[in-house]
Amino acid sequence: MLVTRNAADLCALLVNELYGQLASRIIAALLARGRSNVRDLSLHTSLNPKQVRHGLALVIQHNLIFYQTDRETAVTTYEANPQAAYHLVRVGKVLDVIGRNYGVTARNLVNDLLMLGNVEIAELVRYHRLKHGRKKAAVNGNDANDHGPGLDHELDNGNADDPFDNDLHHANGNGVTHSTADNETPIQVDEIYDTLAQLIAAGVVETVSSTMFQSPQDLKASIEQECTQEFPNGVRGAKVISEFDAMVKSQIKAIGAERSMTKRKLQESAMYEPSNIKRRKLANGGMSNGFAGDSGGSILRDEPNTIVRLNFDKCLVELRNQKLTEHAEDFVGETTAQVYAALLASLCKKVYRCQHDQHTIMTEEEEETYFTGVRVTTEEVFDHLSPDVDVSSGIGTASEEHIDIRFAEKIRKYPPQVQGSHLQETLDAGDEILGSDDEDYDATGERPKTQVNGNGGWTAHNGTKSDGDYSGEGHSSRIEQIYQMRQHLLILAEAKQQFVRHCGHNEWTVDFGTLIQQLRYAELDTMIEDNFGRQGLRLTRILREKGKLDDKTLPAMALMRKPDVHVKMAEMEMAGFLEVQEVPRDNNRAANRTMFFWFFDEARTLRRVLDNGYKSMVRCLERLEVERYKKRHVVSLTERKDVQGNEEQMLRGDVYNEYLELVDIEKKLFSQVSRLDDLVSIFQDF
Amino acid sequence: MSGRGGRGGRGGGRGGSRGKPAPPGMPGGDDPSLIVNDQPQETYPKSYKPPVAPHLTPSEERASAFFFSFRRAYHNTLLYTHRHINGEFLSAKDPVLPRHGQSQINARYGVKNRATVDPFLSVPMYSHRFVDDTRTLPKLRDARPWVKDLFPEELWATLDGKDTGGPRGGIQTKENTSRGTKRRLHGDDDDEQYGDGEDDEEILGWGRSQRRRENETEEERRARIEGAGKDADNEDGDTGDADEEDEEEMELEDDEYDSAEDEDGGDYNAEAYFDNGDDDDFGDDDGVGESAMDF
Repeated sequence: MLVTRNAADLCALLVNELYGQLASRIIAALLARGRSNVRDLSLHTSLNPKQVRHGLALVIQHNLIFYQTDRETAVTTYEANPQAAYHLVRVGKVLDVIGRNYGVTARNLVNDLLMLGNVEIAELVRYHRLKHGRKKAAVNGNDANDHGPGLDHELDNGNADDPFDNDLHHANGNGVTHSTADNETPIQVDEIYDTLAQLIAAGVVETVSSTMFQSPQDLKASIEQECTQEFPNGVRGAKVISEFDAMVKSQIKAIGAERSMTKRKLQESAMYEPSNIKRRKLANGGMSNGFAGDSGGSILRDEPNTIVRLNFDKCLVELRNQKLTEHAEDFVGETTAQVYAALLASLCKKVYRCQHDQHTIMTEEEEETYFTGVRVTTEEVFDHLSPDVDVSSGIGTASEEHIDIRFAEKIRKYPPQVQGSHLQETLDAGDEILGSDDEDYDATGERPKTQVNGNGGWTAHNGTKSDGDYSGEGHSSRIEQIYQMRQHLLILAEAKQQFVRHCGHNEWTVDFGTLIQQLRYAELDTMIEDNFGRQGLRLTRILREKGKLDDKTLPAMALMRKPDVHVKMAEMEMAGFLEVQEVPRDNNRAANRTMFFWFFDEARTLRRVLDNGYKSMVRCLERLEVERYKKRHVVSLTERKDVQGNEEQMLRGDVYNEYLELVDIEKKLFSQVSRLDDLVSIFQDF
Repeated sequence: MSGRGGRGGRGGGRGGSRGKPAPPGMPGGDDPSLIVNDQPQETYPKSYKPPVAPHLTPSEERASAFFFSFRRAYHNTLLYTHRHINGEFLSAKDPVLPRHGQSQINARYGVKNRATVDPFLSVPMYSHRFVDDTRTLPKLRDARPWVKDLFPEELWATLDGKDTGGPRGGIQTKENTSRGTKRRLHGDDDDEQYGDGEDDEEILGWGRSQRRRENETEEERRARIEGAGKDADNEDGDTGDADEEDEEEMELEDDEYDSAEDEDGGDYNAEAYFDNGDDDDFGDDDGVGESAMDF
């Protein structure tokens, strides 16, 4: 994340919004000054050292900064972690997506983790029971003092008929259904542990080690320092340097492995592989009790002092899946999008982060999946698909002879070249050769034999007949359903966006890089079209396609009048979407002897767009401050402890109306911020 | 292709009645047919129709509801520090901070000390029990057991609520720790940490074991500090101890008072100003200066 001034302001405002003024001042000072120690900070903020230390302790607890203690001088320097501060804007979305994918208990756990910061497991469980055990009672007893119990309850109910709900939370108890556990008894400790185990295995929650508090760069530097001591003669010469590098690398690997130890352990106790649960469930026609040992939970029970925190990287992966599903829904259709959601859910079990750079610490397994890509089989996707989804709907029908099966089932082993903004034409030829293994096609895609012998009814639209015929016979309906789901996958693979790549016999993968790139272009195009109209969009697309263009050829290519082109181009250049390069043909640089090349610099445009996004978010939050100030008498009333939670009864009519207005404004402003964050995520984080 | 575009361009040139030929140096300035309208544009559109944002989708609705409920829950904890702006700077026109230099930013944040208390509102009233005191320091001590290993050593005393102020006040000294355990025996009840005393034997057991571990690490750490950091610590020396003793006793005596005034101590701190500016050479003065200021 590039920290511009707007980004820094935004981070400080977000921290202020959630964690309070002191934390926000510390973060702002750290962002402005770079790494500094307590003394620098107190000078800069004119807070006394005691206050600075309190603020620092708070932000360390919430993972908002890095620190490093110099061993010789015993001076600790602190450094802001802007990405972590920015993540705060996604708190609501993360809670929502975790609630959908992992269940209500998981969502509450994540909520507690956000409240507590780094916390030992035993402590977390204790806290969870205290808070949410009481909350359930409060829902029944209509206790007044609780924060938004009605809200939570309503939301829980809303989740039940959500089509994208992966219904994992049906699977985590020992056959105890949620609805009864929710209301009657306080939450079972086992359930909390099991959910936590599931979250850790999925990577949503990670174990904390002290190395995580150093910024990755510092960590690498200190490891390098350690390693230099192993070479008393200094690191010189090619051989020694390579040895040294290998040593550093292995140390970093070791740290990565250590961090993911608990996760690995939990994953090995296969209980928490959601697909296994599902498969068992499907095979036996219900939850089997045979395997329902408490292995995952008990592993955690044995290590009550393990410290955990929320892993935002994985949360981003979940958010990306949600975004891609929405995208697919826009372009293809609802049922297909649900199939796609299932595919992404099964695919991303092993994907723990969206992006990585040279400093990211990964385990070997992670590295492997990152560089070779993950793939899933059709069966796995089907196991993740919610049984509620009617896969037979949403597909058109075409007769056999109209489908070129060789083309439809073509296997594309290699990922498409990432489309650069320009100047990559030369590579395309090679790309074609790589991807041209079109001899190979997946024969498993042909229709199941039993169906072909049937009465030919399947050329009719399947939605009408499959219910009656196949619901009774378990197995054949499964084959048929898989077949139909496969059609959805093929649609996704064939789409212009290439949501899915058919990468082997019955194997599927997603090229996130190219897909996100397309999303980026789509968003950028929308933005340009809104600001500069269709013609502006046409010009930028031409430039993106062709690279640098002389301003004489451009009007011809765009089929526009030259003055129009110039006006548009100047407008867009001023807004920072286009750049111009001058190439003089001789030494005296006269305008008529100079060539002007227009081009579209993607990276620079993105940076600018991002910065504008931050700026708008800052403005929204500042506007919120103004609105609060305007209604400060209402705010001061509603912050009273006896008013909170039952504003409607406590407040006078006109004050209550004003309060509702304020809530409405807040909601609008925040939703605007989170929509801007959607853009920022696409442009930067996915 | 290019021919067609060229014709279009010339046509435009003839058609455009207003404007002048392009100034030299502009891209395409060599083309005589290019006409540039150099009249200033209208800076503001006459009819401005801002686009209206579409309604929230259900998932957006849920996300913002979660955000708000999380925010409210956090604001009710002891760790939240309230927004506290200097009254002089608040105005309906611009309640947002101006950002012209650090000193101006700092000046706008409110200071909470005896001088800034509103004498009419600071008398205890019944309604105060419903209102959170404006908190300028998070109450770390009462919040929960901290995992000290995750924090740098200079913050450990701060976490225990025994920060004595001054540049090195966050470092745990022997007196700090020993007295700390004493106090803990008297006062702290493990179950009161979240403000509600629902007890739970099973988990409480873990709390104790964890306490033991914490003590162990403190001892280890003390040994290490004595071994390694002698040169850093001995400046605080003997003179500092007596002061700290006094201070600690005072603190024990009137805890309520302390929470209102000592912890939220003023931003302006003349003694600390010099202490901070200089090196630690004047360490002897720290204790004196601090205690003189605070009491």
